[in-house]
Amino acid sequence: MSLESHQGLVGLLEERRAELRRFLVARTGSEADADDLLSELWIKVNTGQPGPIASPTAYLFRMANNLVLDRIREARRRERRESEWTADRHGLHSTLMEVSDSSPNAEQLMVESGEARRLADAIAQLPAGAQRVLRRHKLDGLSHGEVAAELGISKSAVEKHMAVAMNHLRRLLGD
Amino acid sequence: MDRIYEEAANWLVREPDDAMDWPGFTHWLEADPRHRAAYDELALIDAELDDHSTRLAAARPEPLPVAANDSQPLRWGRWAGMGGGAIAACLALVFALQPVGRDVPIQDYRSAIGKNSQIALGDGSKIVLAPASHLTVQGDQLALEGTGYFDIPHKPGRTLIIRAGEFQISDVGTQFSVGNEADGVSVDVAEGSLSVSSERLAKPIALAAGHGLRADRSSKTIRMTSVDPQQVASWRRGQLQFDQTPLALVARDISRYSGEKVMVDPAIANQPFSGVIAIDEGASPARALAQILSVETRPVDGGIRLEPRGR
Repeated sequence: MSLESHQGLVGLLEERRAELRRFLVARTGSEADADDLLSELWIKVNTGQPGPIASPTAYLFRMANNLVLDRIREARRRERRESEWTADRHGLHSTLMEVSDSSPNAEQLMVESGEARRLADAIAQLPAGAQRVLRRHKLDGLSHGEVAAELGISKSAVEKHMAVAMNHLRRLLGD
Repeated sequence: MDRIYEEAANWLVREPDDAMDWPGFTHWLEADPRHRAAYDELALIDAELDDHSTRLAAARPEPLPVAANDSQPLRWGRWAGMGGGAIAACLALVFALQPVGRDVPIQDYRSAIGKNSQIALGDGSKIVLAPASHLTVQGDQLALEGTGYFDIPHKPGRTLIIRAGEFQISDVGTQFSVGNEADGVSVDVAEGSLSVSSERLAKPIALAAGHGLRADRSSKTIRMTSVDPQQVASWRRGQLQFDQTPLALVARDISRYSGEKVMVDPAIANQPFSGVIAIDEGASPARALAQILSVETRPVDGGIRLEPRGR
């Protein structure tokens, strides 16, 4: 089963429901959240029109994992907004607006560029090998295999470099 | 804990791979709640990298930019006031203040969208922050994201330092504006003189009234400009000056300075605009702009959208 049709994905979700739920419980630490996300996943699978999928099971798990991450990020954004409003004495809340749907508002851009600057500084401090792999993979969008071929190293070496890079970034950004 | 992070990173890195061992990952998560927290932390950094990949790829370290020095004559050009690009996006960069002693308190000032903020410091300095800007004050050390106008009284033996991106402005008493925006850093002196230093400059540059400096972020060039002292920070009076600025950026500035939500149809987003837009109470700057450019306006959710004629 290398290519999976839309119907196939829906069927597969039912088939793998227990495993996916177990993963979601482990990933979120909450049965209620897991059930919530499982419904969300079901809706996504039923309304989405994915192209050809090489590995449908992995695809479903990745979708589930992404839904969890989206939720965590949304919660973080909310916390940050709330703490900013509390800290702000100028009543930013009432005047904040979206400049347009596709272009985030200025306040948001400022937050984002601060993030980008912190990331850029941290990336510049990574060990040379890990930095190179991270730049080619995460910033230039090459797959692990492509990076491996370009640098003449094995795919598992690429993965090791990436793991080192991510942990370095965590330490650098956590300070 | 380091071991947990190492394991978390290994799972994270393999996640996009079709060969990812999802049941194995599930078991690992179930084994210890700290596993989940470690994975979250790394996954959030990973997502931030994805969010900013374009900008980060563009910000790749390059050979040191050309510095303005004696062997490379500076270009002096007439500068048309507050360039739209200079105040365009609010992609102010965050930078760290040099620690000047732990006991000096840091004060934070932020201006909202749609209005300037007046700040009076204890030493008699007056600062006007343009909308959506951020000023940090720690003793005589200031740091600016966005745009501001500074009126600093002379005090013997005191030098105020304002950081704006990679530039430091040292001032002993003068009036000037500083912009630290998406497209670069700008300084314009209305009265007195000041000194600008940066690692991008071979040596500090002295700027007197009527002179300014533009450091472009994308082209990495630094340009000296002349400026009408009367026109420095004309945004304080509600005047936005644009010079061949794409409409999308003009709209963003208008939104930022007036608080009126302005959007632009992609078909005309790159159309250049030169001129002055007045931000007045009660008037719609976007409608004025539309009239000048002969484009249509359409009310949309909470704002105005500029569209080409004959839609």
